[in-house]
Amino acid sequence: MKELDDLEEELKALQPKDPTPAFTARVEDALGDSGSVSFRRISSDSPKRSRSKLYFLIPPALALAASLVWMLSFLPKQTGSLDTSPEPVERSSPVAEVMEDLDSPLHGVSLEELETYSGMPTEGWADPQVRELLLDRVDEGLIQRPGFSPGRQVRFHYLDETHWMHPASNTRIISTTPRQEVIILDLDLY
Amino acid sequence: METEPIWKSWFARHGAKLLLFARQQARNPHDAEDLVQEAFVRIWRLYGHTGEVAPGLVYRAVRRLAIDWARSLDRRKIREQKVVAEFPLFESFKSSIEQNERQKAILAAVDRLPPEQKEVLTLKIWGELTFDEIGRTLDLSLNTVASRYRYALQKLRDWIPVQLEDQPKTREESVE
Repeated sequence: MKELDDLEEELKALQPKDPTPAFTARVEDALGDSGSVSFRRISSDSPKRSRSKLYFLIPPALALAASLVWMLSFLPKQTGSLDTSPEPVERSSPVAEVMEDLDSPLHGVSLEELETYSGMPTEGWADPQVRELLLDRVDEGLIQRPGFSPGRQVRFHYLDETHWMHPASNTRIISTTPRQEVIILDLDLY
Repeated sequence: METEPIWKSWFARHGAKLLLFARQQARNPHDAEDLVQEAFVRIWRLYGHTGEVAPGLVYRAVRRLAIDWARSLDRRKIREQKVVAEFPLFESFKSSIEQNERQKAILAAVDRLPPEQKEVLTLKIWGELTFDEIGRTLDLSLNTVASRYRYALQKLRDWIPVQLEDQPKTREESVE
């Protein structure tokens, strides 16, 4: 029996050739969406992905928009209570003069005004860091599609996180947006 | 932390073994790759959402597809054309210069085995399946699987020279 055990060991020592990268790529293509229904986490030292430099304008703009609303609604009342002189005719005009600043993300508000009212800088933001977190994957079972083969419906819940940073003022803003994706895997029953 | 599709690590673990098994079913590397791709994609679409797939399911699908394809007239024609060029088992394995001749001798002996013994041996040795899993993959009883495996090993012991040459040989023929 020992000689058969030795033979087994010798056979096990022989390793079949790995699939070629071209073949693996072919399988990946054939899998399509079904290749992405399950993931495992792997450690990585690579930097987070960066999407677009334009994102840096969004959080300051949101903050400044809130400030502006506050100023427009609250400050006139305050000053109005102190000012007892008759209101000039020009101020009651329904047509407001709007100065357009093409660099500003907010219509009718210049970058300078944004910076002044919000107390946050509009320049010097680092590129935003974006990452996608897979929160959950729900297999919703088989679905019947008239005229097509049955499919398996899988719903993914993601959280898209965007981090903005202003190094000079050490300001950080994190924005999170929930997102869902639904894919239907074609099933070839076998 | 980043993520990677599970199928990739699964395929890295089992892809080579599946191809080896498929090559025995298809008798040429091109058909073997088609078989593995088709079988793997079908099974992964059905069970990939679970995050893990039992290799036996894919081996079983490979075998059933091979049977289906062999029955197909078109496939048979293609096979008849391709079978002219033989693909020895040795070409499906990694080789090193030192072990080349020894490996060739062993794999040539494996190649000589009857197909039904060779597929059991392949699933057991390189597929790392249990006898029970092999039985379910090949639709055979446990006893049949075990006996085919034993006969295969005994034949190899007799056919492969060198280290086993000084041992007494008890050659048994397959009774299946």
